[in-house]
Amino acid sequence: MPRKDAELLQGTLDMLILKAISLQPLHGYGILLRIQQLSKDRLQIQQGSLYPALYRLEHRGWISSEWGESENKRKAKYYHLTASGRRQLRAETESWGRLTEAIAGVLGASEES
Amino acid sequence: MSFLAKCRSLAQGIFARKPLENRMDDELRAHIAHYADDLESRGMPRCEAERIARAEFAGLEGLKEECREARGLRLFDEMAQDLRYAARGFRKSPGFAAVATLTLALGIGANTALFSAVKSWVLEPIQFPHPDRLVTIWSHDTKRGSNLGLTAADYYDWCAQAPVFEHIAAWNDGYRFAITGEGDPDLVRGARVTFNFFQMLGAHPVMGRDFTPEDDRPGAAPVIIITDSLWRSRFGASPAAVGGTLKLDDQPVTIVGILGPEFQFALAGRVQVWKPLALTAAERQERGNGFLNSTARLKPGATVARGSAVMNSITQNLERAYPETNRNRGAVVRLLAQEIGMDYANELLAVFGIVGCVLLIACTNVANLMVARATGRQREFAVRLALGAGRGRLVRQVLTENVFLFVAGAVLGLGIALEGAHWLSSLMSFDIRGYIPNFGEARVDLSVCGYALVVAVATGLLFGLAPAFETARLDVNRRLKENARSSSGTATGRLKNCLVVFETALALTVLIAAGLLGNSLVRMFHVNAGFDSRNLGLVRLDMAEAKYPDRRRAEEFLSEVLNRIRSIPGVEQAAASPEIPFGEYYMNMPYAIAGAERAAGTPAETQLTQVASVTPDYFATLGIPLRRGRGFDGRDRDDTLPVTVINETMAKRYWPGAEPVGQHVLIGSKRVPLTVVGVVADVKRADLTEKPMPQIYRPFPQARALNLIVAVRTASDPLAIGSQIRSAIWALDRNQPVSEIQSMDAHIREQHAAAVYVTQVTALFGFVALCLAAIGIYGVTSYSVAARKQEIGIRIALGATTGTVIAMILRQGMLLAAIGLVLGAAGSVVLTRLLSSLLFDIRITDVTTFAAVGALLAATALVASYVPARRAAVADPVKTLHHE
Repeated sequence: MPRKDAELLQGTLDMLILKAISLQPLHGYGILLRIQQLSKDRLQIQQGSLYPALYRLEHRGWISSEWGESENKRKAKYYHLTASGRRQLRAETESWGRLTEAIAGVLGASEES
Repeated sequence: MSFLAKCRSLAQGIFARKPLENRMDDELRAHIAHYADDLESRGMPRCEAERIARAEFAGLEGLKEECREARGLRLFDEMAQDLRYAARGFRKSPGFAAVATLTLALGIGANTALFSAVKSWVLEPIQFPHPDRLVTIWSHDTKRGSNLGLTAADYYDWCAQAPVFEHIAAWNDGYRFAITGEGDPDLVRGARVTFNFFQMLGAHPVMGRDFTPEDDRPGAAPVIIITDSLWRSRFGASPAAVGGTLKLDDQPVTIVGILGPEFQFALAGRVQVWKPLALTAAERQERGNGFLNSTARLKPGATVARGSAVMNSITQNLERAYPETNRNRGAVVRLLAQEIGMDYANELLAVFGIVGCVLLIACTNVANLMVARATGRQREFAVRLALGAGRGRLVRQVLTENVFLFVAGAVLGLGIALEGAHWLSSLMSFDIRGYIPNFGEARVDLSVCGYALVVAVATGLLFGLAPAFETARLDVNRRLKENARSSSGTATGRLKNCLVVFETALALTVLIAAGLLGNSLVRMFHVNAGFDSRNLGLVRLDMAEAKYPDRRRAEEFLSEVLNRIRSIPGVEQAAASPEIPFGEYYMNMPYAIAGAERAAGTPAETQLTQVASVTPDYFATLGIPLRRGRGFDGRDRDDTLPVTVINETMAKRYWPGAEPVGQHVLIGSKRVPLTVVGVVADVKRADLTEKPMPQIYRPFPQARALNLIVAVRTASDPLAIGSQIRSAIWALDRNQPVSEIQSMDAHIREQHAAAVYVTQVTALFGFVALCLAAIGIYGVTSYSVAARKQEIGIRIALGATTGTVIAMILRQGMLLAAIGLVLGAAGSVVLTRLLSSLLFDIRITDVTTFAAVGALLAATALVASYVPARRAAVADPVKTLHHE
């Protein structure tokens, strides 16, 4: 179960995963590291919630996987984005942008008045 | 794309479970290893790093479960669990499982067998390529609304003027060819066709060749194509038969092709020899007499409506061009598949409906059992609910159990369906099956299996609603507090009562259908056919035109044959005629009454009726009573006064109250005058249900024919002396073809095969329905008695007699039966309407049948509820109450 302090908005994890592997195919642990790195360690992803999310995304056909060898010479499952996953990422990024803008607007307004 | 991916992922999850689980393990293990690597590289000892990495994944199983759910697999996991649980449950109560499965197997099996029949006989009656383009074109009398024979001239005009058809072929299946030469002489049914007949159907001989236009020219070397069955019976399936010759009607013909075993042109029945028409130029000009039928193939893309429109304009043009012959002569275009399937569709659908009722009864019985079972398991369910199981989950489990049972029933039912389909075919005689699509063989194929499965799942879910409802409204607290054995409530009882009412109503419907059909059949076979059909044998004797150009020689041969037959021990009388009652055909000839014409002052409109030529002993042989005057005898020769014997209907119609003997009838287009010398009773011609029509008989010497049926009156079973009759004829002429002997009774039954068939099948299902209903009522009464054991015990302890207790229980059971009977009677009126075409002399609301069937069902219900009632009433109250 995700810890309270690291809780993400519902659905954001999916978007982060899509973003992370849109740059290059990654294995599960690599995705965790990549998100931490991109967020400059501000976001901590729970290992427990990562895998169900990966399976869910794969089930929806947004990502697909194949087995490969990692930089540590270990067998690992690499995920990459599918065409529909790429579309999904674009759509989610846009709506996320609109949402944050709107929320920022609301919050900014309340402070002034 | 996304949907497909989902399906693929689900399918993998279900069918490739093991590898999937392994891959999941591998992935998580790889993750831990990578994490440990990381920690190690930061300077942590390896074993410590691994411990920490693993610790972060605490609850690995829970995580895996979440992963599975993410893939949508949880539903399937639970279903598999439910199925396992169901199987275990049924293994624990094998009696219940066996009864339920057998009941369902019976219902689903019967239904599937009937479906296979509907499919083979109505839905897919033809096996030729593109059946949607095959049509029949009937020449049609637009004034009388009946079909006519197509004339050769019209046929060739149609071919020339109707480009909407790829081919139009003409055929006539009314031939009977005598095969002589090697082996016993034989009579086979034959047809003559235009050369393009097989091409039109899209059927090519499997050996040899098709007909060519040259074969169809007058004077061409005679050729035939034969069926697989004749090839096997006559030539032992020898490939040398192709190109060989055969003596057909004393003429050598070459066999050019052999058709495949599956070839069937159902409109023509079991024709075995196909021969080109080869009409002469003069015959092709014939516009007056039509003797052809036509079947055509539409061009790709052309519709029946389009074909119809084209044919309409063609026939209108012909009507204008040839007003004397083609007046009121149109054409009707219909799909061949409809034409073939149509005859049986109504009856088959009625039986299908009846079998549907039987299935519903079977389902109701099982639903009843399941409700009882669900009630018995309430405590178990209550415990599960209390432990946190979702109500939906429990309902789903009950439904799964139900579907499980129904599918098991369907699998067993397929076995019954295989046998049943075979049985349905075997009820029909060999000759009749020639006219039924696919030779009456109902095939159980993949789509039929699919049907059984769909029916099982659908009914399983539908009838699973009853026990599921039972589970859904379970009150956990009450249930857990209550004593497990005491009965629950009225709602369960009400549900079961509804099921019994439903079941009784359905059973009544099926039984009424069976009752009406049986009743009608009995009435039909008690109709006075006008002659004595018992111990009457029929033998077909076709004399060759080439051998008897002089008809007097034929007459001499015939009288010698009749004499020989009469001298066979056991033969009482013998006679011959080209037309015998219930024969393959009878010929209508125009006739007029001399006096009536004079009275009217103008030539009266010509009437048509049957004119039969008969040998002197005909009336005595068939047992047709003479009413007035005399029959025929040796006095009536070809050089004496032309005479006739008419039937009572004719006498009454034209000479009511007057003496018909001595009057004159004019027959044929030449209006030959015949003097009436006698009157005989009316005889049914082709159908026991037909209305009497005028009939005219002529003495054989004055109207000789070559194609005859010999009727033999015997002391006992005529079939026993069939071979002696053939030997007697062959002793006179070894090359004379004679058919097998057939009994008139069997022959009449064959004419009414559809009614007999449907009645047999319905009677069987009526019996099944009655048994199932009895089981259902017995089950429900037993259940309710068991539930009221305590109450009954108290009543008896307080002084109620055995009689009062039984009466109390019976009253309840009979009330349900009565409601069911009333509803069933109403339902029957709707269903039996489909049967009305098969019913003779009986209304679909026949009160006697309704009353008799109702009484039968009521009596059954009485017995079925009496048995458990009595058991409860004689139980020792002390024991019952103590037990509680």
